[in-house]
Amino acid sequence: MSADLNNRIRVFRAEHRMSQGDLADAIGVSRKTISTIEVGRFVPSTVIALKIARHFGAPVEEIFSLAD
Amino acid sequence: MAQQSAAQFYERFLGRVTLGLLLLAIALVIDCAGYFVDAATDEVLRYVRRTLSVVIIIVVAPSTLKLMWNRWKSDSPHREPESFVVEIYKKASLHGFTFVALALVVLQGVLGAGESTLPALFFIKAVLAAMLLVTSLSFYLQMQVDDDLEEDDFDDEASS
Repeated sequence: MSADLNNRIRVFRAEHRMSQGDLADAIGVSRKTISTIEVGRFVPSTVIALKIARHFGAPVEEIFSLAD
Repeated sequence: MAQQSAAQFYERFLGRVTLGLLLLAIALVIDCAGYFVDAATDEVLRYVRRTLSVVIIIVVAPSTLKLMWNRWKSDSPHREPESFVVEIYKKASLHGFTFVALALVVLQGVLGAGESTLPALFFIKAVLAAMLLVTSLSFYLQMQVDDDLEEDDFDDEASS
């Protein structure tokens, strides 16, 4: 997990029963990009974050939050 | 074969470009080695260099042409400016450039303005080879670290 940014993509994927590949295809990125965002190795751009939030129908701050 | 998404295609393209850079670096190293060997060995090295040049074209040209074709056909599908692989490619390029800049500064300090028996072309090739080597190796090392992390699939987890 990134020191600056937490995310709950994995939780949302589980709720929607989606694999990383499904989510990647849905928002037009690669599976590698999704997996590295999940583990905090890659901090996504605003555009990717908003696409993920829109896909799950949730506010972006419900998925991404700043680490305390 | 599964349909490849635009994002996956672009990342494969970057992987092939990096492989091309690595092969080019090896070709340049062999070129530099040619300054220190006899004529017969240099002839062999020249053959190896030509073979490598053909391999580089085979590795890079098809995906480059496909990328250009796809971009010409449509304005956006094969562009993924925000991607983990794009980011590590940029980082690797920065590593290569920084390494060469530091190496040149150090070499200038060590060698000074002294005369060299080797031609300037040798040093240009050596510097290019170092930059390409560092760039491609940095890219592959960063990709390797990521590959260790990548195996998550929700359906698999749910069944276990």
